Amino acid sequence: MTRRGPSRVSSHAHGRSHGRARRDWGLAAALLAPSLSILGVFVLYPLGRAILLGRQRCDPSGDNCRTNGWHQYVDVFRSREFQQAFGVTFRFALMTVPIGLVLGVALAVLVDKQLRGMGAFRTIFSSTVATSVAVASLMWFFLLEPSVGVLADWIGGTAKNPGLLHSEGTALWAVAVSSIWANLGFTFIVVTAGLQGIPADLYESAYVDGASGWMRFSNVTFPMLGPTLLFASVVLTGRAFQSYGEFDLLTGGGPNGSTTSLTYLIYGNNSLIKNDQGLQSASAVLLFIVLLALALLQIRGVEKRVHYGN
Amino acid sequence: MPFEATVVVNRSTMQDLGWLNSYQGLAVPFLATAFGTFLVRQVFLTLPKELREAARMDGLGHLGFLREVAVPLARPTLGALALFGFLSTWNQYLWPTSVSTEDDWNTVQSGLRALSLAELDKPNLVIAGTVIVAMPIFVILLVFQRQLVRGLTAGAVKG
Repeated sequence: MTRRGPSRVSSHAHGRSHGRARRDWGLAAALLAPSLSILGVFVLYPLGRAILLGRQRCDPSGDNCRTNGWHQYVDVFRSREFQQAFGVTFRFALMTVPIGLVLGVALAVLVDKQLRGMGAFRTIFSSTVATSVAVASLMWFFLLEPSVGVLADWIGGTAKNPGLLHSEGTALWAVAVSSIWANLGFTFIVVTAGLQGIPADLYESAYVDGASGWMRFSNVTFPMLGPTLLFASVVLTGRAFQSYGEFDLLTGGGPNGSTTSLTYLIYGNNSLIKNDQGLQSASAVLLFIVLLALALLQIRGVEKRVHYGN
Repeated sequence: MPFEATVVVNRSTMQDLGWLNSYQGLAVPFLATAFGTFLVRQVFLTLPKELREAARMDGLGHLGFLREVAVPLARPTLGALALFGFLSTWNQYLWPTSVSTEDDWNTVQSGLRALSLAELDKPNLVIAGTVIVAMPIFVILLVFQRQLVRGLTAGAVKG
């Protein structure tokens, strides 16, 4: 690759190109300034500030904060509250991500056919991508709530009394169902786009070789979907760890802390630390580190085995 | 970059600026996003060098090239980005509930939250509110499905 460097500029034009380069830098700076200042003030600064705030400890009213030192991060990480919320969040991700991926792939494969009327199904399956967390949560709340919901009547048992959202054993699953449903549209759309990128001749040669429907899926579709599935699982895991509205609206972290996720521990109205900026920041920074580590793990661990084609 | 990790500090920034319960408070943090920058950059990278050379021959400077060539060619992506931005802003939950303390400054989502807390014993009222909040987005989805798919899948394609 050859680049047009300054050495190729003839000597008499040199002075002029020097001035132009300086003007170019000025223009670039002017164009970048608005975005950079917003990202600086509302993304980079808060991240740095949160890391420093994480050392602080305030009294219960939220005033009189003092610096407690870096060991506060270790204390927070080891605390019973953080560990419990971490466990809840981890289980929530384990419930939502694999099931969400399987359902999304199943729906996408189901309607990936050139048949009349498939477009309508595509629209229906995509539709949850547009529902907000508040809409999805309230919908599921009314479906599951024993006093009004039809689902409670159909399922019976715990669902009827005290209700799936009010029992320690089932509340997290109930929230997970709402979240899986709300994210299904996204997974469906991404996987559908991935399916359309698979060359048709791969299927034709598999067909000629006598591969059955399931063999075509496991030997052609699934490997070729690798990058798509990696992308979807990183996004879904990130969303699971950052879910907040579902917990706020469906359970308020209860019953008995069984749905107090890390985000709810940090921001929730019923949270113990809602007035303590130091503990909130420490927890938020730890959540950020966990998210970063998980994304890197997923990408590193899977990348080698993912087939990107060319 | 998870915004969730920065909400505590951003909220106190807004408090210091006196921007709680205001449009600035709700909107300014989202005027620039890394995602949008990445998306538009991907498009600009696909523009052939010859196009820039030809524009230079025709006497177009950087701003002229941006206005006359690059931005018009990026229009489909800009459309997808605009749509995606609208949807995610309309659907935001944590930030509006953090930065608005008065009912007058509820967005539809935090308003829905307030409605559900106040009228829990009147499910039909809350469900009606839910439908009203969901409707405009469904209409937009029906009309602009293609653009939305482009925006959502942009990150899935390895550049």
